[in-house]
Amino acid sequence: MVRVERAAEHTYVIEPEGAMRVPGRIYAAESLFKQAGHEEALQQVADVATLPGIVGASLAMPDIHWGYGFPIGGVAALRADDGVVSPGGVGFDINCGVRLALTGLDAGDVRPRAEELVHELMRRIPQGLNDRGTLKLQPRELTKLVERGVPWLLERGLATERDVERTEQGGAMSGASAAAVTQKAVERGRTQVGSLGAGNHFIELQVVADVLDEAAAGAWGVHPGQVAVMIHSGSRGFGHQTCTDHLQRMAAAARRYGIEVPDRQLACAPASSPEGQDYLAAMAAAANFAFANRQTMMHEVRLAFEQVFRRPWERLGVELLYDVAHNIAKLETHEVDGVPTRVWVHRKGATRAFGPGHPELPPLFRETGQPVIVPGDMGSESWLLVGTQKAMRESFGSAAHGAGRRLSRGAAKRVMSGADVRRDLEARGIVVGSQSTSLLAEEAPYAYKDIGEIVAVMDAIGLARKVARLEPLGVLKG
Amino acid sequence: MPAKQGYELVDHTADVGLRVWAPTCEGVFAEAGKALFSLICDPRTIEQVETVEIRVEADDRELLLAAWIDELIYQFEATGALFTDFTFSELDETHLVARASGEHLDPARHAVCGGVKAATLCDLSVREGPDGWEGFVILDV
Repeated sequence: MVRVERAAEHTYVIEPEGAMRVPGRIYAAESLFKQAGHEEALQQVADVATLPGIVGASLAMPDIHWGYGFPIGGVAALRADDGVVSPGGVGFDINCGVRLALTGLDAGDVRPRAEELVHELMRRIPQGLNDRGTLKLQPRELTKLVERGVPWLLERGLATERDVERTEQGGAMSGASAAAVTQKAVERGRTQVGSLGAGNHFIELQVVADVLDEAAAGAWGVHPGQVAVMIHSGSRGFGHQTCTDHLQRMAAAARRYGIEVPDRQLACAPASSPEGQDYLAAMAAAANFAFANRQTMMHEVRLAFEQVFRRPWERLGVELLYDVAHNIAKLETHEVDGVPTRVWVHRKGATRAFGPGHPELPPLFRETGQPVIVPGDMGSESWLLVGTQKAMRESFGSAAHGAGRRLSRGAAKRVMSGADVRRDLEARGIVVGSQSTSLLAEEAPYAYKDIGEIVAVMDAIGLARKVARLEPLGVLKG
Repeated sequence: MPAKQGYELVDHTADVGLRVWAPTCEGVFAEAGKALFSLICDPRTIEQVETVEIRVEADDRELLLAAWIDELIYQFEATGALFTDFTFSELDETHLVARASGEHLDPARHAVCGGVKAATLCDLSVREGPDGWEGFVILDV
């Protein structure tokens, strides 16, 4: 069992022991230590600290929970020159992420039509398992999509220039190569662009309930009573297969590079090695798939609004605020012991949270800091925060990505049936669209930690500051 | 253990652990396949109407178990194949040749009850003990 010491309010440290190269640092509320699986999660923070090239500390965000290899909520920066990259540090759902679109409509306009809107979304956007996406692509079109990302959808009339600007990295990670992706990944992904998937993925109609930072909210065009749409999904089978293929290859290569890891899910190879370079090119392709997937679904959201409100989406003001990745490795420059250093920041269930002034942000967010979108679990509140300079210094510009599971799926299903969860949500005025009642039980609100506490910890430490709180009007589940 | 050959699902906060046991290594791989498809669809609704040959290679026996499960996930997602029975003509530390029997997904008769993204390598094990073979794998669901 690892030894954890309290270093400051909401900050805990694991001093280096054994093969750890750096300390572990966990930002969390004290309730973490009552949570099931927390010892395993803390061991995972220590395990990540053994990776070659890791700098600063192996970090965990306030929504930390037990994962595999990395903890969920884990952040690690690994030197680009002589460090490793680890597919397990990104996860199977590469660029699982979230986007928030704002609308020019208020709750009063939408609430009477919410049921109709959720049904229109269900009709348009495939959800659940083994379902085909809205975009049918030939293999060579998929190649273009994964190499060029959202800008390729712009050419096809499925995105606007503003959508491109408002997506992390312009919706196109550089270095993406379809050649680094296997035929199997293409087979799994070709029919899935524009599909939600299952598990914790969702599309939610939300209303801005409170604004806590009027300056940032005003700059972003966010006001109380406004309706927004949140889309949470990833790279579907394309990303899962890409991680699987490269994980096997790296696990096999580890011996050759003389790398020992405490858990094979941490399998890694030098970023500069053929295995490392191939993985990064394939990961970028899967990241672009995910950006394009969320964009394609937002296009359908726009059409659903047009259908229900009988006006062009432009006049309804359905515009993207921002789209961010939650499972990704990004090449970034951060100060390490006072020296700007190129690092691959692995975020495994964590969001980028760049503060004001960062040159990678579009002009508006360079003024305010970037929007940090923190979805709650199904049917509970979600939050909009803003990135800070403190996050740049403390957490490689990272913050918590969501509520984080508290109960396993099996345990959640034993608490309440899916039908009861549906009734519960509907009694609170939330329209529920889902084909699977067992999924509703697995994803029930009580299966997750309290999002309010996680956001409060981030705000108190200063990793991100609260801007607005959003409440659900309707939810579409996988 | 309740029977000479079988599987059980073990709770894990974000995922599902899968413990399998059998008198032989082939039995462990077969049970892993059955357990996987039990997470995807009720096995009682799957009829054995076709058989597919599957070949898998990996760097060692543990990675082979993960690669085997990953291959079955791929077969399901790419072709809709649902399997309930597995026999092995070859199985060593680094490769296997299997015959998987089942049928293709028919939405009229099969309710897909869960999805599996991949087999993780976390706590992955395949080993021979005094009472036969045992395997453990955590699935990302």
